[in-house]
Order: sequence, then C-alpha cells, then structure tokens
Amino acid sequence: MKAPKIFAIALIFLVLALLASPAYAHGFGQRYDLPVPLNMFLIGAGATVALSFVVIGLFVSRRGVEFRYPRLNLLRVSVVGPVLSRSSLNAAIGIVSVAVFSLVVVAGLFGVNEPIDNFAPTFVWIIWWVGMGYITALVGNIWALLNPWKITYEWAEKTLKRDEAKPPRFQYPERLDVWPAALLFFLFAWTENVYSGASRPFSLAILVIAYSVITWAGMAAFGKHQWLRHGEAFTVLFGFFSRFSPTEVRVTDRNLCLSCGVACDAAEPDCVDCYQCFEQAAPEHRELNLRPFVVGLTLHRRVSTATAAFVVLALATVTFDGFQDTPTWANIQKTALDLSENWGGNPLDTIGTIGLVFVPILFALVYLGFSWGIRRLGQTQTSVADVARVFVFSLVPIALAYNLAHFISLLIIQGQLIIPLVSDPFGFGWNILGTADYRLNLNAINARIVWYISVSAIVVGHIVSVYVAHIISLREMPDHASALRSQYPMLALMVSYTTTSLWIIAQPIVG
Amino acid sequence: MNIPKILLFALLAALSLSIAACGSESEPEHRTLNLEVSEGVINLSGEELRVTQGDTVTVSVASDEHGLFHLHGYDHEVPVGPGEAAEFTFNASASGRFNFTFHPAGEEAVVDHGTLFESDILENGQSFTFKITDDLAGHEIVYHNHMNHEMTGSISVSEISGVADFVAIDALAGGAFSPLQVMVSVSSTVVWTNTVDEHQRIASGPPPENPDGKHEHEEGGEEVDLGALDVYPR
Repeated sequence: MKAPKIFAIALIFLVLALLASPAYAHGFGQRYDLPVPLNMFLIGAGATVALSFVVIGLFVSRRGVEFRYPRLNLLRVSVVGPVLSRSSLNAAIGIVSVAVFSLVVVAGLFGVNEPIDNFAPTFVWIIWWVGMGYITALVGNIWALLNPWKITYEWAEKTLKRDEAKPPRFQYPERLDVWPAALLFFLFAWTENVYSGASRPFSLAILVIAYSVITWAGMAAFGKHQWLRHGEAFTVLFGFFSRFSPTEVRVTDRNLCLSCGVACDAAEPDCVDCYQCFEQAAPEHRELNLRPFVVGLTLHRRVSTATAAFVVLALATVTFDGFQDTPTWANIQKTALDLSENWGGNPLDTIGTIGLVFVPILFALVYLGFSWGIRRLGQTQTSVADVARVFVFSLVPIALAYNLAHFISLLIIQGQLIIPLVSDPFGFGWNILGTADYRLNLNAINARIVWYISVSAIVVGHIVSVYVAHIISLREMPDHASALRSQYPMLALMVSYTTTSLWIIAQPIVG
Repeated sequence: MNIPKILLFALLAALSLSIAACGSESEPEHRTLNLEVSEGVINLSGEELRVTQGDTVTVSVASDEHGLFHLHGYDHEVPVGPGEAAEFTFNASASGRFNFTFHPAGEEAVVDHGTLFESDILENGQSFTFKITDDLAGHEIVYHNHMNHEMTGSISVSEISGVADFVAIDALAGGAFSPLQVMVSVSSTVVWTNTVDEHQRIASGPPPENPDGKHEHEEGGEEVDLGALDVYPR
C-alpha cells in the first residue's frame, strides 16, 4: 500500500536535511599522509608493467583452468564449529549491531553538532565505511551478519508474527535489477565526496534515518532478500568486496539452490554466498568455508548490466575520492570557480557533483572501449556489452587495493578518535569508560610503512586483477591462443588504472 | 617450480629490497624553522619545511597580524602578533605531512567590554572564576582589569580539548597579569586571584580607552592555510 508514500516522505526528509545544514569543509577526517616519493612511484609503476608480463608468461605455459579450489568447512572444525553455529551468538551480534546503529542516530540527532566531538561522523565515515570495506574484502562478508536494517526488520517480522513464507506485497520488477542499489550508492558517494554537510552529526543522522526508511520500506514492499539483493547498496557493494575474501557460505542442497532465489543459480553445483538459501538450508547442508583469496571473483559466468555498471561506479568513485585531494583537482576547482561566478548555490558542490558524474562515465567508456578491443583480438562472437559483463569482476581487486592504499593511515590514525568518543559519544563531557582524554597517537603508523603498504597493495591488486581476467578469458574464449590475445587490451587497461592509482598516492594531499 | 614462478619471486624480492633501501641513516638534529606570516602568506627565510623524524624542531613564527598559529597533528598553537616572534619546540616523533594554519584574530579577539564576564571587586586574596564555554572554541579572549586599564591579558581557547583543565592567573603588583597569555580549551576553568592590595575587577574585552579595539583585519576569523611541515620517516 503505502510504499510510494514512504518513499516520498523519505525524499522530502533528504531534501530538508540537505538544505538545512551549513557548509563545512568537505570530507571527514584530517589526513597526515606524505605523498609517496617519486622513486617508489617509479618502482611501483615499473613492477606493475614487469610483473604483468610475468603473469602473462605463467599463463602461456598453462592449459585449462581448475575450477575446484581447496575449502575448509569451519562449521565442521571442533570448538570453532559449535561456537559459530550457536544461534545465541548470532542474536548477541545482532543486539550489539543495532545498539551501535542506534547510538549513531541518537548521537547525531541530540549530541553536540561538531564533527570531532560527536560519535556519529567518526563511526560512520572511518570505522564503518573504511573498516567494513577492509574486513569484507580481507576476512569475509560480515556485513551480512551485522546489517542493522536487516536485523531490525527480522525483529519486526518476529514481533508482528508475520509469516516469512508469505509472498511480499509487491513483486520486485526484475528489470530493475540492482539499479536501485547502484543509484543509492551513487547518492552515498555524493554525500561522502561532495556534500559539505556530511561531517555534520545532525545532517548525517538525518541521512542515516532517510536511508533506513528507504531500506525498511523496500524490504516491506518487496520482501527482505529481494530488497537486500537489489536495493540495499551496502549489501550489494560489500558482496562484491567479499568475493575477494577467503571465506564463503555455501549450501550443498542443489534442489534448494535452484528454488530459493534467482541470484543463487550459479555455475557451481552448490550455491555460494547466497544468504537467502543459507537461511533456508538444513544445518547439514550449510557450510562456512575458508577458501583461497580471489576465487570468489571468478565464480559467476556473466553478471547483469546493472551489476557491471555498479562495479565500474564503485571503482570510479573510490578513485575520484583520492583524486579530489590532488593539486590537479584543486586547479580544476579554481578554474571552474572563476567561470562559475553566476552559478547559484555552492559552486564547489556543483563542481564536485559534475566530477562525480563525469568520472564514472569516463571509466565506463574506457572500459567499454577496451572490451571492444578484447572482443576484436579474442575473436569471439559475443557483443561488446557481454564482454564487459564477463570481465567486470576482474576490476574489483584494483578498486580494493586502491581503497586500502588510500585509507590505511586515515583508519589507523584518525580511527583512534573513536577511543575518546566511546566514552563521550554525545560530546557532553562524559567519561563513561575513562578513555575520554585519549589523544591520537600519530606514530601508530609510520609514513614509510604507509608507503610500503600502499605501493605493494596497488601492485599486488593489479597482479591479482590480471590473474582473474586471465582465468575468465581462458574460460570464455574459444581457444587458448585467442584467450591470450584477448588479454593484451585488458592488460593495457589495468596498467593504466594502476598507474593512475599510484599517481594519485604520489600527489601531495591538499585541502 | 617452473621458471616463470622463480622469475616472479625474484622480481618481488628485488622490489621489496629496493624499496627498503630508501631509508636515510642520518642522526637526529635540531632544526629551527623561521616563518614569517604576512597577509596570510608564509615567507620562508630560506628554510625548507622538511625535517626528518626524530629531529628536534623549533618553529619561530613572526606575523604582521594578530592571531593564532596552529601546527596540526602535533597540535601546537601559539598566539602571534606584530613585534613578537612566538616560538615553540617539539620532537618530531611522528612522520607525515602536517598543516600550518593561521587564525587571524580579527573580530574573534574583539569581545565587547564585559560581555563575556565581569567580576565583582576583588580584594587581596579573593578570586574570580570563569569557565570557558563551548562557543568560545578557537577564539582569543582579551580581558583587562577595570580598575587599572594598563593591565590586560589574553586567553587563547584551543579547538583541541584537554589543553588545560584549570588555569590560575595571578594579578601581581606593578600592574601585570601572570601569566600574561594563557592557552586553554573548552570547559577549562580560569581563576584570577588578586595578590595585591589594590582592588581589581576583571572584565572581558579590551580596556575602554580603546573601545573598538579592532585590528585592521576586520573580516578575520577564517582559517588560512599556510602550508605544511613534512616530517620524513627516518
């Protein structure tokens, strides 16, 4: 019934929140990064090119692809298994997650409206957004476990005694695919990178509430899993990230896999990382596996256009985030400011918005251009769009590596702000845990270590991307020779992405 | 192990070695950086704003304008103004790029006479207490003795919390506050104690002879970016 109405209200809230908040320096969290020195930039770039050829060389001598990979089911491991299967553990995690989520909203609404004195901005922008990205990529998809919107929705379902099996009010229109999630992620990226009120606790809380309303309404209207899979931006995004990770959930009941949801019907006989199936599966069919890194990115044959667009959007926005701190962007801003005297509103926001729209379009066009090259050299019959959809997950490691390089010092240094803030979340001068007087330890990570981590992460991410693209091409291309040939454009694309990433971290941070 | 794999490992090893070789082996030194701020721009007297981790760094700041000079990260904040070069020394223990900013005093220093606080008449040994409120973060509060307009002092309120919880200022004989300038943060308590026989009355703002008390830089208050100090890892 009222789903459209709720959307309308949410939209009004969003607009009000945006208008009501005062301008503030963009972004949140002060950075103390020293630019990567020239020699390390050159070494990184050189290694990128050289190692690419090594990887190509490895593949020349190799035929066929192994689709099996070693797995260790943690649920069968003694001590660990029984603990992980406990439903009380799940319930406890849920309570903690919802408590923290509530604290963010309440602190944002009623606490001091100063970014560094309030729990909300540090938690949302540093601990959750940066930290969750790292953990989902390097450990596993804990967002599926912690998602406070999902948990609260389940609580509500339980309280209202709604039958889970009952079909939802509306059938989710399949042609919408993950476009709602991609759109919401774009708005999120805009908030993070452009919107000048993002660090203000009050406007942040309003945005969180607006997003919550949208998410709850979406789940109520289309069913919990339908919305999580198609409309909940972070479930979809962290789902991409966790394909890189060394853990997976797997359901070994083939019949259930075929019936429980569209996305679960993967190439494998089992269904992997399909939470809808996992919830329905009998305990003996459930697996929580350790697996090698990266293999998750190679599991799906062909993703939808919307998913491919979302991946490219994610890669483009993390890159834009870094690019915004460079002197080059500062010059663009300055030039645009001179031209923009008679624009209304906040010209810097306008310039940022244009950049945030333009960069993903540029990335998408470049990617499509190289996909065309792959098609030509690989001599396949598939369309350019199909090629783009097949290879898109091979871009994920580059995005993750850049993300890691870009945020490592922010997380480790500014992330410490959370220590005093847990004792005084509202900025009222409390000292609940006795940590309110904690001062940041700037020495927690040395600039040299940051350089090593950043350059190595970017180079390794590049190699992994080349590797994933190869696995995919060996699978998709008609023969080994065309698979190899098809990879030259891909390699050129990845070298250019990687040198862009390296170039950005070698730029002094301004603003 | 086939040949390409060996090649791969060799390359990785070479990469990590060449990166590790970039370290410098010099001894920590004492560096002095003389900065002159004029019209919101920093003039370096031939210095490069680059030190090495572990160095002892003395920053000396001269400014043609009143305001607060702030080194971010290390969080050193000193009031500066014409005629007096302010100095601070610290150990550059953490590497990174740390911004210098300047907060021109401008209107911020101009708190009208008595608008913030005004004590009763204090006799010898009596005290007056003022607690710094949230809205004063980043401001410079000037005050004076209303019974002796020659006696003035100032309180710089840092935006960083926990600079000082409690600051005592003595009103001494000879018409001076001691210390003359103090640095506090929000929710610090400042206590003035009269230590002489003359009666005193502490009031915020500049003394009335100079009722406007404004600096030339009227539109002040905006933080000005001056540049950054690079502390390179050792």
